[in-house]
Amino acid sequence: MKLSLDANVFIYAYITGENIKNERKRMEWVQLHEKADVLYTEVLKGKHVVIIPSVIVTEVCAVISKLTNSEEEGISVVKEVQEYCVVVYESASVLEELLPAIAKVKGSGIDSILAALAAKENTVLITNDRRLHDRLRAFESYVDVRLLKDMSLDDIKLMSG
Amino acid sequence: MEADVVSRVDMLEREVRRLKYMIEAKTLHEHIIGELHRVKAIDELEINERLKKHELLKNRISSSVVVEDPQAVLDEVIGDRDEAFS
Repeated sequence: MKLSLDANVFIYAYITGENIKNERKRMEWVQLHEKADVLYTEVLKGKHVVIIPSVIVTEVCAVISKLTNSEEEGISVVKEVQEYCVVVYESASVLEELLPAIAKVKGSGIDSILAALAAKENTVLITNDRRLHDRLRAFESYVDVRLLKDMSLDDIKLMSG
Repeated sequence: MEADVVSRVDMLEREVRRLKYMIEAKTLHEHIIGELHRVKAIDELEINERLKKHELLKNRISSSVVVEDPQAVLDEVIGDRDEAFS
């Protein structure tokens, strides 16, 4: 299956959350990690192909660097994402191709590029951003969008066929 | 030492691919077709290698987290896209 993953899904996949002290927050994070982990493992196994714009890679780098207070760790994660995912760099020609879909989404720059790429490449967009999910559900039915929080582990496993 | 060299070569290869892509200014479709071929796992051995490397990186990153509330950082850095662009 072709997927587009939002930055938050990558973050949940890379951080187990086991060291979060607050029990409620730890349980919430660990549940999201388990789902993102299964999903990303299937990507590494070649069951899914991930197609993402480079702005998502930028966000992943920023968040991991901040969470670990280490620029090197942010870059390490990005290198792995670049190795196993299809990253689309926003060149002039690519932007030109995505503009019609970007105009339809009417969201922030990053949301628009992510959703436009998902629409153009007919991927399933998985995010844990409810606002983005609800907006695309409401206005852009041509994007197949799923909210990680609402997906069960069985849903995720079924996607691999 | 050998691992460092391999890692550096990998990094340079990725950089060359990125620069080549930018210079050639491929269409989106052409780029994706080329990349789909690149990211495809070749065999079981390569898949196991990928999983092993990822597990090591994931555990290292997870144990390096220095904040008490990662969700708050996630929300702070990428949770306000609308505000940032409105």
